[in-house]
Amino acid sequence: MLSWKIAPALACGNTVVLKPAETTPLTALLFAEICQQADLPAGVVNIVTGAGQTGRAVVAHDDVDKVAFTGSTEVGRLIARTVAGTDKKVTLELGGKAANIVFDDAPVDQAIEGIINGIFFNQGHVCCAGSRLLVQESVVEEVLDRLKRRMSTLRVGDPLDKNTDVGAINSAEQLAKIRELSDIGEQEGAGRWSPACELPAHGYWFPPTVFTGVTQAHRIAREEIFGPVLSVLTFRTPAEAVEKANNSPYGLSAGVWTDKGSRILWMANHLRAGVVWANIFNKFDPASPFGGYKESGYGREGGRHGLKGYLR
Amino acid sequence: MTPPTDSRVDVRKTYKLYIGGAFPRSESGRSYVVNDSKGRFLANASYASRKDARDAVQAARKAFGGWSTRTPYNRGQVLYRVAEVLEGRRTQFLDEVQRSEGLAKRQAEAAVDMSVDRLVWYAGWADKIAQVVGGTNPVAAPYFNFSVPEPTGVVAVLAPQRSSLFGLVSVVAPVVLTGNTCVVTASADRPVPAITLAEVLATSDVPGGVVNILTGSLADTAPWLASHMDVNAVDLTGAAGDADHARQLEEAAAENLKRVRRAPAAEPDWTEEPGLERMTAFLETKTVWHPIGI
Repeated sequence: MLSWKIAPALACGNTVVLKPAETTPLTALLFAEICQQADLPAGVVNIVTGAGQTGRAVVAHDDVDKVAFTGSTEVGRLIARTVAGTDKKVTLELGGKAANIVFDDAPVDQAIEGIINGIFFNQGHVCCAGSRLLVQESVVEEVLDRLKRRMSTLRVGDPLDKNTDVGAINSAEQLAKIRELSDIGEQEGAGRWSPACELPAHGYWFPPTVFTGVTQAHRIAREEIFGPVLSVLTFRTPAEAVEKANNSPYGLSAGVWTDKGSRILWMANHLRAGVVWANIFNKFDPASPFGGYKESGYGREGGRHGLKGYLR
Repeated sequence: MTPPTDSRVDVRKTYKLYIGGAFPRSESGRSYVVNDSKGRFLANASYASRKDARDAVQAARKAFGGWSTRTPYNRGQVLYRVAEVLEGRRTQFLDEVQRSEGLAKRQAEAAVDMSVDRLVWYAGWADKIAQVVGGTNPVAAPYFNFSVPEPTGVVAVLAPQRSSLFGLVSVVAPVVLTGNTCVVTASADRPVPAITLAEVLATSDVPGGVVNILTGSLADTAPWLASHMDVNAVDLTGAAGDADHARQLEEAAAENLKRVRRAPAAEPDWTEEPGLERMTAFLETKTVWHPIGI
């Protein structure tokens, strides 16, 4: 996250004040040592750790020309309000509720890997996580069956162990939010399933979880959970898939799984999302613009589009 | 029997709003007197309410699906057609711009001619802009990856207060050319050329709802457009010179992360080369990935 912001800023000749997330200051401070070792002139990169108040002070400072933010839509709104009436440039990379859409002719093995990677990578702490799985009705049983089998092989545990697939949740607060929304999912009538897995005794853990029989009205299908929780919805026609996928205030990313080329392009045209992954998910590249539509924010990171935000 | 001409009563027209391709009165029933630059009566115009603003947003949303999926070439052709029809009403616009803005005849002629030229200029960009701001991205892995511009959605446009036709055309054309639909608040004191432009749009090939035009006071419509949750972006050009109002509108727009084109300190010189900025301000970038393999 840090390098995605700092690298283009420095490449365009800017100097930087970085305020890392309040729960991840250590990697940022390690990066400070790297800056020193690389003989970066003093003052080019500055790091201030802290919580919301620190962030507010940085964003509101009169001598800041550009604000680049990654985080929640809620804080994004605050920032947009704070910079109102100034000349500051702003790019916001905010929340998402990506639809991962699987058609009946999809390459199932790859799709299952894509779904797993889409929602369980980094414990679902990813703004572009594929948290809504839309499966064509005719293959929903097969897909669910294989998805559950694959989920049973996921290892939950120490994030420093390279055999681990799903690490710990970022904070107690985040864990409470994931638990709350999952309980609401059950209360609203969705079917909850997790593989039998032992969670470590200490720390913040949440098992990989899938909800079936989810409708668009369910809160788990509307709100960003930011955890390893997948909601499964079904559709019959491509038009219905598009309508359900677009029925969200967010528009960051989407996935499409099908063997039919013309359908991929039709879907890509109609999905209101900044990134569309076809027969793949969660791919990034510094040369590829990334960023959202609607309440997922504005501006792009990556590629020529990403540099634009750092130039006058 | 034809009455003698000196006793003929003028038809004092009350101009209406332009919403969803129709010309409704304001639901509030209110209207206001529009005077020319010398303070003489020019027309009665509808005084749009917040409900009219909401109706206009609804009409713009309804039109977005169809308009945004037309081919860029087709949208360009439609804009050319608007330029043609506007040119056909040259004399009427000349009179209205001259009286509204208090210009000399030659200045008014220039304003009308440049309006036609600006429409043609933007029309030409229809099928070219995607190649300028989009393209393929050289990712370091076996994927085909490309980016295309797409319209942001429904845009609220506060048209300039001074330049009643040329300025208006200069802010509306770049928004709709790329596939957005819009709700426009016309110059409060000089709304007549905007209403005539609505008549031009209605008789060109522009689908109803793509451009909706409200007349009246900014204070009665702009805050509701800026805070409307189904508006995706706002162009604050018409709030130029009123920094406080512009800041309040930008704050309201933050609620659903609208894209905001900020108000300039003073109304721009519309004769300057426009550049691409007014088009790109209301475009999103969509990036599509697909694996390459055999």
